[in-house]
Amino acid sequence: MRFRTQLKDTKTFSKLTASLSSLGKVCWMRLEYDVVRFTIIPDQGTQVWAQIPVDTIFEENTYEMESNSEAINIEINISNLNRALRSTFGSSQSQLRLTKKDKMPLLALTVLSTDWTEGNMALATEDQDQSSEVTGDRRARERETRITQEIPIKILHESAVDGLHEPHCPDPDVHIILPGLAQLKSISDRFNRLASTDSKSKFQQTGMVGAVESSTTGANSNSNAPTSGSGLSSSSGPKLELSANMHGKLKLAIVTDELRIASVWSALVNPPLDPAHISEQQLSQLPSERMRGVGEDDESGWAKVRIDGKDWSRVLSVGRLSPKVVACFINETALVLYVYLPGSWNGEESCLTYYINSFAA
Amino acid sequence: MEPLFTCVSNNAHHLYTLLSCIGIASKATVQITPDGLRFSVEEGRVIQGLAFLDKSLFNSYTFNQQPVPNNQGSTENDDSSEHITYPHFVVSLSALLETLKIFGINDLNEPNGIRDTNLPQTNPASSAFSAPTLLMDRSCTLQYAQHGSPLSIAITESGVKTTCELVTYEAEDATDIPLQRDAIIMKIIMRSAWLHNAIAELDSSNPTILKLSACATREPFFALSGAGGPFSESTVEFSVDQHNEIVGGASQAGPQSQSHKVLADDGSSRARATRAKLAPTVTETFLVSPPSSMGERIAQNYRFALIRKAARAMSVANKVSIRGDRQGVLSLQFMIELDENNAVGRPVGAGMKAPAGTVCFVDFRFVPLLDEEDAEMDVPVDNE
Repeated sequence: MRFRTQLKDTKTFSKLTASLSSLGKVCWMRLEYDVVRFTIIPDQGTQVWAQIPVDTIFEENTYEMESNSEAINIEINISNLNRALRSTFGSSQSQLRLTKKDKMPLLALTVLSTDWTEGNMALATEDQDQSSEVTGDRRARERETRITQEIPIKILHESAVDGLHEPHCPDPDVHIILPGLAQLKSISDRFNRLASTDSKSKFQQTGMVGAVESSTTGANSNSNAPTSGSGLSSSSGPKLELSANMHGKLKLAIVTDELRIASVWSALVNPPLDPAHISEQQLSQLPSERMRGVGEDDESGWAKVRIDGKDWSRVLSVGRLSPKVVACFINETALVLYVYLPGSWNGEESCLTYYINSFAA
Repeated sequence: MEPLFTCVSNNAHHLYTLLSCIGIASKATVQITPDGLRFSVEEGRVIQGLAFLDKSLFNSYTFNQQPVPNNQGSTENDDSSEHITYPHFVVSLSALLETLKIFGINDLNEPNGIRDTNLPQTNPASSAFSAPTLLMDRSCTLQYAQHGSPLSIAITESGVKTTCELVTYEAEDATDIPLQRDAIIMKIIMRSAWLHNAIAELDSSNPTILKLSACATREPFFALSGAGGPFSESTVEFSVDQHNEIVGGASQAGPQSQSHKVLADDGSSRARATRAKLAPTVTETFLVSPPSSMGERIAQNYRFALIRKAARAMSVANKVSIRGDRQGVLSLQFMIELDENNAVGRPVGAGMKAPAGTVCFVDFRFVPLLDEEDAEMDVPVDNE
């Protein structure tokens, strides 16, 4: 078993892992010949299945992967990987490889940095200072630094991941391209806050609500604590109602004892389905086509899901990758988000898929 | 059916600025009058905040009810006598403020208000394109269809329309804190910044009591002290400029702007001449006339934590009128200029010229502490 590659776009890779780590710590990373898959299935909340072509994040010609099963399955703490990747900013080269230390499997990230700033010169030893007098400051500043970070991992046997399958969903009732995620997130967060100020004044839940808030805004490392620690707090989190129709409208709403608030986006795009994959006959039978036929003002043309506000906000953190997002609504059942990284729109392969279950009313 | 009340503003930020001044409680009582909207909050019957959104703040203002005529012809913002005749109800003020903030109106200056301190400071929506100047085109519609219906707020921005329906509750028969208009014994008008600086200065020693002292004849003419905290008492005196020594926090705001202020003061020269001896330099109006039973000096104590709640109003306002009646009820009336172009109320370095933009008023009233023991008594901070 062998894996070694140069990293290509560490900014994107880092943003990707940051977005993933907000949903859960444990990540199944599957290295194949052409693609890298990241899967996070938390105990509760949204699961994400990401499929990234190798050349999006790795230098394709340096990518070496050998395995008897034609894939390497790794269990990794994704926030550790994210932290390590952040140190690659400003580096000239970084390499990721699979290695072993005392029989412990590791992912080793080696960062090669050549641009030393003047501030770092203070760290230089006396010897080097002397040599720098000879060769000049310039040379000393460009000295290479090599940092290797080791991230403990688990190698998963093929049989261990055999049972994991991407959820199967019925055909969507409504599919729509979401507006800018930053705007959507800021409004969603405002709604969450509206709901929590309401519950604060209503119940003695202030401590609990506060705890959930601090964990989502704070370090990701304890993001699992509230969800697994107290099922109550997550089940009592604000529930957002998200709905859309086939006439370019998306609605985000929340209802509390004190208020009822809704934001409606209009003139969004309901993307056409690829005719190459679906025959005319099938197309006409799709629920979304039926929904398209329903009048614009008709309530029945809307597909609605009820989602956890905090969880939704974590999902929307993928907005930092400035992707294009197609939301597929399966009425009262689930919401599936197809998140396409910039540059890969139409490139079918680079896609993050989020599966969000709808809560019952 | 035509709604009872509708108003449209193209600048939700103005509404937010005014209402955030009184954002000291979660619920506010709203009263609709032909001249504007009156929002009032109170806490434990010892502090009351009042914001009047004049109809001139709105692009359109339609109120379709003819009120029952009564003897109180005046609809001054601090008039408390018309609760009976106009529709009034209670809404969640915190929800209203959050709603007005929906589009990151407040991105560029996060308020140092009480309830905002623990919110994350970075808003992903903030960018070069969400600067307040670009937010002017959004419209904000308030509507109250009929008695008992929710208060609806509709905010429209390119592509997004947000509608919020706030549940309205029956207003309690809360009477305002009475300020005896015919028994005002102190009236001091000055730039609000001076008061804000003084309170901020005193606040640093974390006092529990604010002592107010005013006298028309002897120094200190006007002094504010913080007492009862873990540190010793500290005092800010507003003194007369003649000796060129300004004591306390007021001096830190820069003496040059003080002298400028005296020159720019548009009071008559005769009044200034007599006043120069008897009034602190920073005051525009300084009237102290205690009844003979009180002696020459007015001294009252207030709970500092309550005064602190008016800090946001102090920071936003241009001028403040400090009034006290015979019973010691303190009224702080803040004049807030809402500039059409400037997002924040007080322009930096503005003189005391006649107001340019719309002028609005926010009032606070405080019940005095009667004696030392009252200070120790723990007044509940929250209503519920």
